[in-house]
Amino acid sequence: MTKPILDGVKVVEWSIYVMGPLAGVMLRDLGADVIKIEDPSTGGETLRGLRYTNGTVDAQMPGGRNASFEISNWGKRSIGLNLKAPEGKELAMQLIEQADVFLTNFRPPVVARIGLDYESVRQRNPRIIYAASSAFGSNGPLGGRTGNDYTGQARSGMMWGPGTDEDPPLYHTGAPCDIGGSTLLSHGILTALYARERTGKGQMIDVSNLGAGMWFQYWAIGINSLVGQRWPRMDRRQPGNALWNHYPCGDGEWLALANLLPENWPAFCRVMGLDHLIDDERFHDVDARRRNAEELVAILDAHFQTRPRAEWEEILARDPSLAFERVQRVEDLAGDDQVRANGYVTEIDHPVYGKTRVQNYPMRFEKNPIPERQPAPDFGEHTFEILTEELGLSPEQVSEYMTAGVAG
Amino acid sequence: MEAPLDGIRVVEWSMYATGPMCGVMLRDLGADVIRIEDPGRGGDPTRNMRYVAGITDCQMPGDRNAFFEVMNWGKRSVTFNLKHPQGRELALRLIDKADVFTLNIRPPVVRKLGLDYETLRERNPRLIYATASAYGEAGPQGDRSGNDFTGQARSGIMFGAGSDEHPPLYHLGGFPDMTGATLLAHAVISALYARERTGEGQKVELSNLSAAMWIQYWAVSNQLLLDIPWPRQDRRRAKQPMFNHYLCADGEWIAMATVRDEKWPGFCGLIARPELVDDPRFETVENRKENAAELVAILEEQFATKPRAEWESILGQDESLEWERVQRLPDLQSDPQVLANEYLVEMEHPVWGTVRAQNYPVKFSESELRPRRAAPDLGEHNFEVLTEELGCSSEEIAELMSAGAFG
Repeated sequence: MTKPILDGVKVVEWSIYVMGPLAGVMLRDLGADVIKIEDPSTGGETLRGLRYTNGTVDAQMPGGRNASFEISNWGKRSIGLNLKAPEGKELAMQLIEQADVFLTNFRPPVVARIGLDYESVRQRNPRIIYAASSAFGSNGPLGGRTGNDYTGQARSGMMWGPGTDEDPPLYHTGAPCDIGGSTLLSHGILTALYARERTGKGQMIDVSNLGAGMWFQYWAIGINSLVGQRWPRMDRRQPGNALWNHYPCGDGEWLALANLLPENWPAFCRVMGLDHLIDDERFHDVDARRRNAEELVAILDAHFQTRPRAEWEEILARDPSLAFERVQRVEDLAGDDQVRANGYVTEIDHPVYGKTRVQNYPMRFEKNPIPERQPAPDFGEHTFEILTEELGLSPEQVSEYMTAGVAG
Repeated sequence: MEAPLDGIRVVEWSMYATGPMCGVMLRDLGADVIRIEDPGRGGDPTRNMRYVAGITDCQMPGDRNAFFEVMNWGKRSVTFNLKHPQGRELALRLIDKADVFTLNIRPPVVRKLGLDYETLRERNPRLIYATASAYGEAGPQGDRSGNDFTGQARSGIMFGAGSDEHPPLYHLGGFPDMTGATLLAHAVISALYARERTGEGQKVELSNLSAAMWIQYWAVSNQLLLDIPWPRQDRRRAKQPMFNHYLCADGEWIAMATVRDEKWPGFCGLIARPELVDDPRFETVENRKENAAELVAILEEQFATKPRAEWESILGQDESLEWERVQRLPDLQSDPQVLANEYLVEMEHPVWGTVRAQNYPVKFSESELRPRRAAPDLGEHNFEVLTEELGCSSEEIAELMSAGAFG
């Protein structure tokens, strides 16, 4: 094994909440040193004190810590700097001068007011990759507006994705616009680092929550842009393709059938003991099954009720051409043998929580290790270390700055 | 300006969405992407897949398919018969000259046809071998097939939207597939960056399952730490009333997306319900959580008094509040914000004329992106690739063709 891919790469992150910080986590997963700048006047990043996640889930953890902050900041170093004080901003600039990447998700007007906009930063460090994360993109009428995962889901059309025509729009609790945005930021930063190897120059990249929300529905948006129909919601009682649908089994557990090809139909009927349906004129070809989907779903609903899910899984597995899957909840993942075997969830020893389950970086590299997750930093945990070791300040200077409220 | 992946050659042996979409992203970034398709089956199954998820008719003029098109913009297509020794040899020669080989074929099939990593690495040690499986290569289901739906089912996504009264819900946008594609492209570029330093290629690997888990990292990772059942979200009982969506008088929806509790008094003032601030039922965060159903009912009534546009201008008075209109996909086509940021762009298609395409989602100040072009016809570039890239003579090509190695 060689070193991690971003070994020796330095990232300065000035970000709050999720989209910016999780991009920092992904870069840190690849081996970068990520220094997080936090505001001493508010006791650090907002997410540290945001008790209820999605307004519902109490995110408090032992030791006065917060689960949502933790998962968005694994393994970073934290420095408290008051960017509104000229000395604080100058210290930030000095850090950025030594860095490869600067990552921010503050609104463009705020960034400009503080003086950490791309032009100012580039003048001090022309090799910098400046990654700007915004709610709605840097151009357009909403360019300077504030937003988050929810505004991304609302604007991008995502909330009309799940559910039926009888449902209101539905919010997805997994924060796909934020996470998608983080992933695209990290992807864009890597691309710009690669380009820098060839050109020697840094550049600015720009990713928005809205753009991410659209990107991760590319399937739907790409096709909708071409075929121009109203994009339907998918009612499981009338799915169009009954073999691309999910069914409750005898024990109340759900099973999803995920088959697209016409030849799946006879194969499915045979393993399920429904041979008599193969040539039934209501269902014998794709168009007939589409026309009579409601009737077919009702038949399959009744049939799936006759056995518990585990039995159906065994039966369907007899034909390897059939795709099917149990419908799990996120809390089932930690005990899922497939998830464990691939290391998607592992355990770390956390200094405060003890043995702790963590979700890992989602890809694996043959030659470059992914460093193990480390705890999120306490607020200002590394202020002294960074100011003395990275910027060469004397301990006296640091304590002066601390007293003056420049650092914290 | 040059594109970041100018001069990079990608050979793609992929079907459906995850692998092909990764190819679109790499091509957007400047790579030359050559698809290998199976001549025996009419190429990628999506070329002939009429209904996506059984619902939307994907047939387009010129006997083309919308699904295939958006997953294959601007690539080149060759039809090599990989089951034929000479067809396989052609593929190997093409991969010898490539920087990247991407595939989303089941591992047993890959081994059977001898296009596994070990074989290819021997021939081309600088190759990035990027593979996307359904469930990850390890584990009891390492060899199984799957797709976007199995990823959604297994990963918990289907319980992410809706209330406790809903069945699990399938999301018709392709989250796991699109996330898998994006992560695979990300992994390829990470490995190219590593190669600049080490000179060596390597294998990168991910799965539909890992991608499906990743795109809901917020739910999965929070749940792992908190170790509680992850609740579904019922908008009628939203525990944080400013983080909820409401129906306006004109039948349009508006999403309040404000997470900071201190915004409550200001919000009540703006929507002309200042009396709620001192109402003992809703005074504190805890009160509002306890009496959520009652509070949502009051706010529903209030939002039902004005059309959405009026609420937008009222809420717009406080710049620190987060809110947004709830749009449908067709609304994006005329959304000024979407167009200003070029998330959707127009392109000239040789068969259809001017069409809209969704653009690469990251903007670069100094690197160019390649404009979208039509997806290739099946085997459109056989002759070109065989002569220009592999140096075959026309006699050789005729021989290979009659032997069934391609075409």
